[in-house]
Amino acid sequence: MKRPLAKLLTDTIILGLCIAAILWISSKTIGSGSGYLQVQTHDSTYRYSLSTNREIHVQGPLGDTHIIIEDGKAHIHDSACPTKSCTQQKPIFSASGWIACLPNQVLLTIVGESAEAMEVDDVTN
Amino acid sequence: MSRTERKIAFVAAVTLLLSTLEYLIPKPLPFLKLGLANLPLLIILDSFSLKAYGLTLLLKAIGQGMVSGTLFSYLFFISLAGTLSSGLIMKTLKTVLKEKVSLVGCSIAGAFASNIAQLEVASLVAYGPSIWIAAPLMLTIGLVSSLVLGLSAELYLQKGSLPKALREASLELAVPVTEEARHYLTVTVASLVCMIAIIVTEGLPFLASVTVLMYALQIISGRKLRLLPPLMLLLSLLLLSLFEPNGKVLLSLGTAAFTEGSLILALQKALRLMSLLAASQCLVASNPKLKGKAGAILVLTLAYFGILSTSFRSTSGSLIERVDQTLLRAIGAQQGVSVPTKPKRAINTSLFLAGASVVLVTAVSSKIFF
Repeated sequence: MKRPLAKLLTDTIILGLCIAAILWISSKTIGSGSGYLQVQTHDSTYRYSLSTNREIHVQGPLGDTHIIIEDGKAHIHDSACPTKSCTQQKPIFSASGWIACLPNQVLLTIVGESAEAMEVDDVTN
Repeated sequence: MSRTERKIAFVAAVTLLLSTLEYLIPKPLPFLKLGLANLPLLIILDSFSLKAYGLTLLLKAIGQGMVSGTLFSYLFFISLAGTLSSGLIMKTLKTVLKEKVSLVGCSIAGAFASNIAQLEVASLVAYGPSIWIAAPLMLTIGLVSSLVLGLSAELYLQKGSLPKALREASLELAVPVTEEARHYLTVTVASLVCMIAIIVTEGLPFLASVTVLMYALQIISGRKLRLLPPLMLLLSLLLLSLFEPNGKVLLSLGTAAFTEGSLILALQKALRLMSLLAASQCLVASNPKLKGKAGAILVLTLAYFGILSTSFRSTSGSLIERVDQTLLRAIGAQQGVSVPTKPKRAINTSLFLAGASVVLVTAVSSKIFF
């Protein structure tokens, strides 16, 4: 073999680059889930990914509660309750956030959130 | 057929033999791949021109699609993306760095590129972005196996007799006599119609019936049913659905949960892909006519593969010894070798057409129902 040192060096660089890339991809994929929205009503539990924008309708004792997931955040858009105070609540996106509509017995929480989101919370707390 | 073209077809046939052998090696997990088929592609890096190398890559991907019957399905796109990206990366590295890079480096870079390309295409055509969850595991396994593979290629290049023989300009490979197999134009057309029907079918019960029908058609077309790949597909899609919750929680496992909406979506996707795979098997069985020079090289590749796999069965010893014996025997074969043909049962065309029309009716009624 000619120049085995040069070969060894190039191979090591390629190996190193690949390992670095794997570590980078792993850090991005593992625990990158932006968390899930959990909706509890008086009779069932629903769960949705926060990464897809969607509109959800769930039924409470008083009627329909309209939830919107947008840009990784969830809020109650409309609800069949008398005061509609739940629609005034700020959109939630991390484990510390929750929205409840007591009259219609609907509770929104975030589960399985990422480490990144936790750090953000620590700062704001 | 020129000498180079025969060499290309031969090397492509060797990759086909090795990828078939890879099925025989017991593995703890089905997606663990050694990438044995890449061994010849590493060994010829130096001796093949870019054009010849590219053609070998294409023949390998298309040949694998023909042998496994996945040529007309999403699996072909995934495998083509992997083969082309890894091949081109390896060839570029070797051309630019020449003696400064060993086959180990090329192999590692190639495997990495192949896995990234396969994940990207798999996420686009079948699984959706959540497949990237598998990336760290796949890439790590690929790194280790490509390291081993690169080392073996280096060793083989120094010690093996075949690389030298392939580099010699005087090497004359015999062109085997091939018998033209029967083409079933009606089956080709009916399978294509079935593919469209599968894509437009809606609703779980309709998709399930279409899947059963397509498997029946696959049996009619004479292609073997294999249970493991569709089961793996179903299982992986169900697992991935855990990460995309959508709807009522059916079963909660800590932070992960099976939800109604995502389960239905995963099942629909799995059934559709399984049916499309069966349709691809039928299309391959219909033996569509291959035209032009490219078609001729492909026919030659498959003919060499036929010879290699038959002679492999008659060898004995360890796996490596058997491969070596097979290759030397094939290289040494004289003119006028004929490809051993297995007597093939003719496809019952009218039965196939009847089945295909039921698929079509099911698809249309699902459209009316939904």
